[in-house]
Parts: sequence; structure tokens; C-alpha cells
Amino acid sequence: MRRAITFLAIGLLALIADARQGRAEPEPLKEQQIIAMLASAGGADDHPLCHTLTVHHHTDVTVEDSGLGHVVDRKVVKVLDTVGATTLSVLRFDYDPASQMQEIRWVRIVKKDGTAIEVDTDKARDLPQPAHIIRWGARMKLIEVPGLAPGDAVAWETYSKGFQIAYLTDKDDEAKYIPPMEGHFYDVVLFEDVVPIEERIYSLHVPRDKPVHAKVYNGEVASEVRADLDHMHYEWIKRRVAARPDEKRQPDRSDFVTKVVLATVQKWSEKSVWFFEVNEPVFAANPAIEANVKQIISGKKTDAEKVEALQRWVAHNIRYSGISMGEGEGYTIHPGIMTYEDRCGVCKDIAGMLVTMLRVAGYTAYPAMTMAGARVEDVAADQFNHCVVAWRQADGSFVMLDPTWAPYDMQNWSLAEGEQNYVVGSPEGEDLAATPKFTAEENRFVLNGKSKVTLDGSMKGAVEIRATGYPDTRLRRAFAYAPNGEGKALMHMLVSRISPFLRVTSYKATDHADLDKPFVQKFSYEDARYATASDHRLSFVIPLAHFILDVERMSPYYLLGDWTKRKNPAMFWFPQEVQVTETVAIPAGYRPESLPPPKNHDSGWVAYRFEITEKGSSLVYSGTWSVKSRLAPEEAFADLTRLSGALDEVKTTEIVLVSSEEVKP
Amino acid sequence: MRQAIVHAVMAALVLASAGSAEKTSSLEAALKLTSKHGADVVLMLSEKHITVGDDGRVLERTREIQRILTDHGLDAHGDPIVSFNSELQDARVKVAQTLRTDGAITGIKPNAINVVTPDAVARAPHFTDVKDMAITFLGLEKGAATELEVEVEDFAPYRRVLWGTEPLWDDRETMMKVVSISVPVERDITWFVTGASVTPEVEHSDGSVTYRFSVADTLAVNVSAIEGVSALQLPTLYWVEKVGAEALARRLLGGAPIALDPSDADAAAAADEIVCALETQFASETWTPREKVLGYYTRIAQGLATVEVDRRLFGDAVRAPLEAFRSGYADPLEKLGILHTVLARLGHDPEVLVELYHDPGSEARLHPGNIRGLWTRATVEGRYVYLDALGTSRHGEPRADDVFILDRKGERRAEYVKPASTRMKLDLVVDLSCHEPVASGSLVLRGSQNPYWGMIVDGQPDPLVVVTSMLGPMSDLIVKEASFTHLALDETAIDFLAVPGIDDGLLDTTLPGAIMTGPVDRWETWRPERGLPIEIDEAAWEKVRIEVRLPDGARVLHAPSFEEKTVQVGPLSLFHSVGIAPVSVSLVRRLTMVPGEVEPASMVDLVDFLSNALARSQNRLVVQLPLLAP
Repeated sequence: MRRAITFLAIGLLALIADARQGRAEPEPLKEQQIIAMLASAGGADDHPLCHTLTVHHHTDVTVEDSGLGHVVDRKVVKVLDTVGATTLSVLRFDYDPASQMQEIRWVRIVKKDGTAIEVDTDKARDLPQPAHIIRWGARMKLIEVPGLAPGDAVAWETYSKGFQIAYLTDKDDEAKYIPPMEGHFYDVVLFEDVVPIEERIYSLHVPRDKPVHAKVYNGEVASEVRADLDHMHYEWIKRRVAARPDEKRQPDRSDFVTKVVLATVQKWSEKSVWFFEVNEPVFAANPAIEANVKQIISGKKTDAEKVEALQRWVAHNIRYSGISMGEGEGYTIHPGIMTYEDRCGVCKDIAGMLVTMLRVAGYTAYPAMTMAGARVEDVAADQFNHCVVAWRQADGSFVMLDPTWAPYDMQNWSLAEGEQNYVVGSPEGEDLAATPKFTAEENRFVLNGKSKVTLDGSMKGAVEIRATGYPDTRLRRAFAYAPNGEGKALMHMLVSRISPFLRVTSYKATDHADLDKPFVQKFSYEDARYATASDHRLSFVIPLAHFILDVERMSPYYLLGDWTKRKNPAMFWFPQEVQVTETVAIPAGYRPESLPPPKNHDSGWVAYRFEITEKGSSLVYSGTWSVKSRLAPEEAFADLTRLSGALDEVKTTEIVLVSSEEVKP
Repeated sequence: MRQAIVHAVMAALVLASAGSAEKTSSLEAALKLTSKHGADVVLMLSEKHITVGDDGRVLERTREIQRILTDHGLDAHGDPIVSFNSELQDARVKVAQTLRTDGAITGIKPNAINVVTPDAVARAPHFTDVKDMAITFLGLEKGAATELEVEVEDFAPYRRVLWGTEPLWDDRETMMKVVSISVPVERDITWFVTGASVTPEVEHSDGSVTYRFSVADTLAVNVSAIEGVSALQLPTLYWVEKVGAEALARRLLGGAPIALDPSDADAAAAADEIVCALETQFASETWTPREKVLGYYTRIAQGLATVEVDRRLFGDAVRAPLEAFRSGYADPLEKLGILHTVLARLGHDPEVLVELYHDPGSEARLHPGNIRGLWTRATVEGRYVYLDALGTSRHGEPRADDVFILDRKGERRAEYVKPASTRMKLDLVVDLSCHEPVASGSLVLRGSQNPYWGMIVDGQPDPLVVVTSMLGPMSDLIVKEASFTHLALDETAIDFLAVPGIDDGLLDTTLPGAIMTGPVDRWETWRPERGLPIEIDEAAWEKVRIEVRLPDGARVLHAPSFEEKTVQVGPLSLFHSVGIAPVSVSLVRRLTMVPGEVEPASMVDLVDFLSNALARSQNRLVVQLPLLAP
């Protein structure tokens, strides 16, 4: 996806107490403990196909009154094979120097025979992280762990405080680590990983007046709560957790692995008000913006037209490229004037630009936090990765706008963002809300064909391709964001699915950038050897019965692979329907030997209907199928397998035409 | 007209001031540019001036003026990146400004210049002095023009040999591209240009000599079409200090230990530790010496993470073999050192075999980028085994004309004698037939061309697939006739292994002694125990008659400046654009058989299969011929 999801980053809080300030840290991890853990942990035979095993992972967090968190993170990882040795040969610890300190306290190699070797942490290199679209100055510490072999283990402890994402201030050193929503703390802790885990512990110590609201999702985690005079002490433990490898096109892992979501904030409305207040100063405009707004909405009559014009201007003129503005980067929005001059930003800045311009035009608009590609659970912990715009209506309701996802989209709210949770930042405070569920019928590919087969086996035809909803956007972007001409080449390739010998004789398309008109492409083609011709017989596949939408971005349900082998849910982003019709003119005197019976299926997850009928001297093919949900959980896999099978069968179904002469006795 | 604009721009550039935003006449001229050929970006001017000081320090000054016309252009050229070595070089942005169509001009701000660690070294601390500096053009939108001027200067001389590779092609439609190289006369250079006919202006002054290369009015190269294509096939300038082949190879090897010094006790102890680790972890008691060599080689090639670092930026310093081995990662040069250390410790007398593309005795094409292979030759049980420690020899065994062996002191010691029967021949007759006909005619390719064999070894072992790979970027070609020879190794049964770590999949399938033909899924059958060598009589080369038809969906463009309107084929052409359509191949009939080959019973069926509409409906008809019997 060209528009990468931005990590709005209200930041992962992590903290711990400072022993020098009287805060109790967990007992040091002793060498004998590590050796005992390793002795009882499994080996390569117990974890086939795994390269490493997390024997022990304990995160201990202590929260101060200010919300400043101190985090001690300890990990013991066993090397199962040579790949694992390579993987662990360099450890990487990410942090943001603007708002977080990170200390590698110790790293130790425990050889297979129990010998312990200290790694010199002074040799760690402190470096800028790799970055591509978002360049906010994040850093990493790299440390080499030399000489690892299967059976060895690596253990380490880090200490950190602050946020992982920027929060710059002129305050003193300690104060700059205090979270932006001062006095509050939250975390989302995953208890499953891509490697197996023997023991995962998360301990949390918060002041007694900051009760934590916490819930476990997607599984079970043992927990314990106790209190002393000053603190509440929470602990969550999960043991012997199987590896959960990533799979292509899955939702965010937080959607399906066991997790604990916790926060001291009790209600979303508190978060809403905070988000409003922290960002409200940035939406001031200048004369240049005002003049541009005036020009953009000139001639537009209705509010809807004006808002749409402003959104489209922002979407197509503020490019996605993130640079840091310094103080407040990560969770606050770049000032509208800055974004207007820079003409670039990430989602929050693009949203901020639209809020600024909407306000200039006289509308009430606020920024909103949302989570693209995963759920937001009902605990008021920051679980957001994207920023959008809420346009307030006269009745107090909101119309949601997303300029980041709007390029080459006819909608103001992308139909790939259905059932998406969000919290509007308003002065009154808003609750967690969700966008509506979109239907397959709203996201439709339409392919219409007309063709003619002749006695020599040649086929001539024409195809029209159009779409509505997000499929329309996908088609437009294939032209907008590929090297010039590649969009057309892609479409030629797809039409060539009809036959590798197909020859396109003409191609026409409307302007993909004109969002007021449908994007329609028309092909004419011919194939001199399409049908197998023999005496009195012609055999062929209906041209559009082939799977034309043969790109994963358009048809993930068909191209992701074998659903029977998949473990994790699949994220399609939008439900969709495909409608295909084609009329094939056949030679006079010929009739189909037989026609396949119609295929029908309708369940909660998919529906399809395929039919070929005879109508005069033509065959009429009609195929319609739909995937009804943007997210496919495991219970949908059987239906998806059935749909794939039906599509495979349809595209290989030969029609045999027989001349009337042959059927004579 | 365009030339006039360029000249005006050149003059204006001289006057352009660096630093804050300033609406220069060059930027204003760029703002008026349009693309004649639908390019995403028009590059009005690209200048790169490389100046080598008397002390060997290098200053590279780059200036570019472009107009960005599309969204893809914004993505590809809105945030240019300059790579440099943060410990050895200073990188400075002199000018970075944007002129929009509304007349607004925006300069650079500190937060728009960001230094990051490249992905390639992000897990290799030793190499992280190499950095990328990303410059974000502010105020940029479609239709805007940008100007960039950057300097990268050495703090101190650190290069063992001066050399460089400058692409003369671009993914932007280019009006004028200039590369100038100025060196002290005592460090004069030699150069060559591939894929284009370019002659530099040469100027001598004050003890230095300056070469000025330029190309003008070139079309945009579609980057998606050239992915994986060797830079040698694209119009590219290669330049290198005149030092001679052996010296060049020696200097490029840098400090990599290419043999154990028997008198160095520390080196011997380090070698013992590496060998001990390998034996403990990997060796089988039943392994023969040959299997042990190949097993250890595989471990070094694949068990250590391979770091692709630009040695021209990083410098030639290598870690000691033991340090590199223990770290779990190494670049190819360091892997060479580790491999030689192990082989020497095991008593296999490793040597370096250098293969260059250039003609023997000629300096004309001598260049680091032209080193086709750096092989390790070891003696195992009285026979030579050739190992590609650097992963540079992606095309099978050494076969260039100039192949020599360096001894442990780095002296040229012996020539390499090629196996007599190892060869490949490719004859194609191609008819061009384009739906958007901008060129037509016929084309004949002949000879033992490297890329074709390379494609075979690179996991496309079916000759028919090779043909289609070669022609892939040329949609709508119809190959009327083609003939192939097989590859074969002679009775010396030399073992060639390739590509440690760079292409993990390749090593998996390139088995010791494997003959590099046959469909991918048949690699497993070509093991030595199945009967190597297989003799193939040259006179009985397999010939197949094939017809290749590539689907619609792409265009073939040719450069008007090409003499005789010759159309260059596939990756050899600068001036093409591609379709990413899959290719299909149908076998019409087979002409002759290879001796020893079993008549594939399915051949007739295959023809039927291909002519069957049902089969064609499956769209991807890649014919896999069962070429040789085990």
C-alpha cells in the first residue's frame, strides 16, 4: 500500500522504578537461575522448525505519580539451530532519544556446558534506525553476541524510561520522559510471539491512587493483584506458549494473539479531551491558506461539495513523507501552516491540514485517533496507529474524513476503513466509536464482455472493466503510483489471462485522476487459435470465465494460497463483489454439446453464482461472487476454500460446440 | 530547443548561490519542462564532479535539477538519498530547494535532512559507518521543480585504488547528464562505457587530468524492467586508476588473508578455533575430505549472515577471520578470508583465482565492476575444487579470457585453463511484431553470452525459460526460431559452487558437481552419484524449435539516435519499457536429440497439450523439457 499506515504513536509506555529512588527492582537474575531455566527448557527436538526459544521474558514496570514509567526487561533466549545463532548474534534495542532513555545493563552468553561469558555492553553501537517514509530521528543500540552455537543461550537485561515515540520538551532531563497525558499510564502486552515461549511475565507497580483497568483478550493469562501501603502490584504470567508465526496479509498481531490491555485512564472521553487540548493550538491558518481555501471552494454550492473539494486538495497535494518537527513529534500534529509550507507529513499532519482548512471554511472539525487494520479494545489504552478528521454536523454527530487514504478515491471515507474504531478529540470528550460495516455490494468489480468465436477457432472480443468503492480506488492507484505506463501494462497483463496468445487490438480508458467520473477501461482483443477446432466441433473456455483479477491486491481471497493450511486471520480490508457477464456469439449451426449446471452457494462468509445459458446463437455467461467481510477469521477458511475451488472449476470448464451435421445419425 | 535550454541552465548554474532558497533561472526553466515520452520526471541537468586531490582525498559534488510530473515521480525522487561513510567523509547539502508552479520557492530546513542507517547494515555493527542521508524536498507537489546540490568529501585519503561506477542511464527522462573526473596525472585513470557510445572531453592542467563525459536526451528507463539486470548491460561509465590487473585484484582483496602464514601462531590458533567450531557443529564422521570442504564452505556461505556493503564507501579494512566468524555476519571479502583460513588449516592449499572480463593484455575494460569472479581454488584429494567465496561469480565456472591465479603473496602465478567442452551457444532468430509498432525488423543473437548462461545458473535452468527471460522486457516479440546447446562439464569434473548467502535458494539447488541444466525441480536428480561427467558431443547439440509469444501489455521503444534503427533486446536496451506480463512458450517440434537422452514419451502429448484450449486456459504454459537422462 502506497500510503503506509502511520504510527500516530501515542506511544508505548514502559516504565520501571529506580532503585536509587527507593523503588524496588526485581531480584537480579542469577546465573544459576538461568542455567536451571535452560536445563528445564526444551531443545530443538521439542520445537521443530523453530530457530530460537524464549526461555524467560520478564518485564517489570514501575509507574511514578507523574506517569513516568521505569521498565526493566529481562530475556533468556536459547539457540536451537544455526539460523537461531545468526539471528541472536546481534541484538537490537530501539528507542527515541527525544523522549526515552535506554540502557543495556548486561548481556550474557551461557554456553551449552553452562559456562557463562559476559558481553561487553560498552561496545554497543548507538545508531540512527533505518527509516524510509517516516524520519523522526529514532535510534537503536546494536550489540554483538559473538560465538553462538546451537544449545547456547543469550540472556540480557535492559532498563528504560519514557516513551518510544517522540515527546520533546525544554524541561529538565527527567521531565522530558513524563508521558504527554501526565499522570497516566497504559500498555498493551502480547503474550505470544513468532517463537515459542516457556515463560512470559509482566509485572506492574502503580501508585495506589492509580488503579489499573485491565483485560485479557484472545486467550488466557494467569494474574495476581496485591497491594501495600503505597502501591498496587499486578502480575500476569503465561507459560509454555507455542510459536505463532506471522502469515501474509494478517491483521495486526494484537488482533489475534493473547494480550493484556491495561490503562489508568478509566474512560475514553478523558483521552478525547486530552487529544483535543494537546492539538488545538496547531490549526491556525495564515493568509495563504485562507486564500487557497477560498479558491478551492469557489463555485461549490453545498457543504458536502466544499468539504469534498478541500479533502481532495489535501489528499493530492500533501505528500506522505514524515519529518520531525521536534517538540511533540509523534503524538501532536504539525501546525497547519507548517504542513502547508512543507507540503508533506504523515497521517496526523495530513489530517491536521484538512482540519485547518475546514475551519477556515467555517466548519467545525477535529482530529480523531483511529486504528487501521486492527481492533481497539474497550480499555482506554492508546491502541491507535492512524489519524483522521471528524467533521461535526449541526446535530452534533460527526462525518468522518480521511485525507491520507483519499488519494484517487471517490469516497471521502475509504471503504477499506469499515468497522474501524476511532476516538474524536473534542472539547466535550467522545467515547470510542466505530465506522459502519461496508458491504460487498458497495465494493464491486464489474467485467462485461462480448465476444465471438468462429469456425477456425479464432476468438474476437471486447471487455469493459469498471468498479465501485475501494476496487475503483485500487484500479486508479495502479495507474497513479506506478511508473508511467505500468498501469496500462498491468491491465494488459490481466486481460491476457484470457489467453497467453491474446492480442489486444485496442485499449481505451477514462482519466483515472478524474474522481467525478467512473474509471472505465475497454479492451478489444483477438486470438486466432483460441478454440480447439476440429471437424464439426469447437471447444473453448468462456473468455471471461478466466480469472482476470489475478493480482493479490485485488483478489486476496483467491490468491493468498491454501486456506486449509492457514492459521492466522486474513485481512482483506474491504468486502467485495465481482460481477462478470459475457455474451459469446457462436457459429451458425452449432450448439453446445452440453452446458454445466449452475453453481450456487451462499453462506455467512461468501456467496457465488455461476451460470452459462444458451440464448439464440449466443452463450451467456454470468458469474457473481462475493466475500462478505473485510476480515476472514479461521471459521471463514472453509468457505473461502469452497469459493476458490469454484473459481478454479469455472475457469477450466470447456464448452464444446457441436455442429448440427455431426449430431445427425 | 532543449539544447538551448540546457546551455542556459549551465550558465545559470554557475551563478546559482548555495544555501537559502533562491528562485534561479535554472529552476524557472525547469518549471516549463514537459515530457515527450510520458516520463514521471524530467531531469533537466545532472552533474557529478569527482575531484581527487594530490593527497588522494576525494570530493564528489553532485547537482541535479528536475521537474516532477507524477505521483510516482514524487515517491521516487521527492526524497533523494546520498550514501556516505560517517567516519571517513563529510556530507553537506549545499542547495535543496523547490519551485512550485504557483511561484512559491521553499528551501531546506535542518529537520528535512536526516541521516539513517541503511537496511543492509542495520544488523551488522561493524559496517554501520556507512550511512544514508535523506533529503526531503519541502514545498514539493506535482509539477514542481527541484534543485539539489550535495558535496561528499573525504576527511583523509582511505582508498587503496581509485575507481567508480557511474550510471549514464536514469529512470528520469534526461536532457543532460555530465560526469567529470579530475585526478592527479600520476594517478591517471582508464575507463570504459557499456551500452552507449560516449567519448569524454579530456583536459590537462596543473598536474591534473580531467575527463568529462556527457549524454543528452535519453529516455527514462523503467526501473521495474531492469531489476536484477547486471549494471554491465546498461549504459554505465566505469573508471579506475591505471594500476594493472594483478595490482587491482590485490588492492581489492585488501587485507583479506588469502592464506595462513605458517609463522603466525596467532593466526594458526584462530584457524584452529574456527575449524574446531565447524567440526563440532557440522562435521559428520563419515564425511570424506571433499565433503568436509564443501560442508564447511556451505556453512560459511550460508550460516554467516551476508552483509552487502559498498566497499568503495566503507573502505577495504577487514576484520580478522576469527572475529568475523564469531560475529555471525560478514561481507563477501571477509568470507573469503574465513574460507581461506579454514582451507589452509585443513591443508588444502587455497589460492585465489581472478577472472576479469577484459581482454588479456589490455587495460581497456579493467575495472572492479568488471571482475567476473574471484574464486577460491583448493586442492582436495588431488583434484581442484573451485569455490566462489565472494559470491561474485553468479554465472558458473570461470570462462572469461583473462583468468589468473594469485599466490599467497598476491602475485600472479599461473593461468587457468578452461575445460575444453564447457560451452553454451545460443542462436535466436527473432521477429519483432509490436502492437504499438515503433520498431520492427529481425534480430539475430549469437555467441556464448554471459547473461544467458547466468540466467540458467541463477535458477532458470530451462533454456526455453531463459529465452523468455531474456526477451521478457520485450512484449510482443515472436521468436520464430531458436536453437540451444547444452551446458556440460568435461572429464575434469570440476566442482563449481556459487553465491554464498546472496541467493540462498541457489546454493540449495547447486549441488556439488551438478550439471547446471534441467528444470528446477529436477536439480535433486543431478547429483554426482548419478553419473558425472556426462559427455555431450558438440555436434549433437540439442536443437529445439520454439515459438515464443509474449502477451500484450507493453511497448518497445527505440532510440531515434540508434544507428540503423537497431532495436536492442530486453535488458540490453536502455530505451525500452516493459510489460510485466508472464510469458508463454509452446514447443512446436523437436529437431534433434542429445546422445544419451531418453526420448521423452510425453513430447507428443506435450504438443497436444499446448494446442489444447483447456491447457491454454491455464495461462502459464512453461515447458520443462526433460533434457538429460541420469
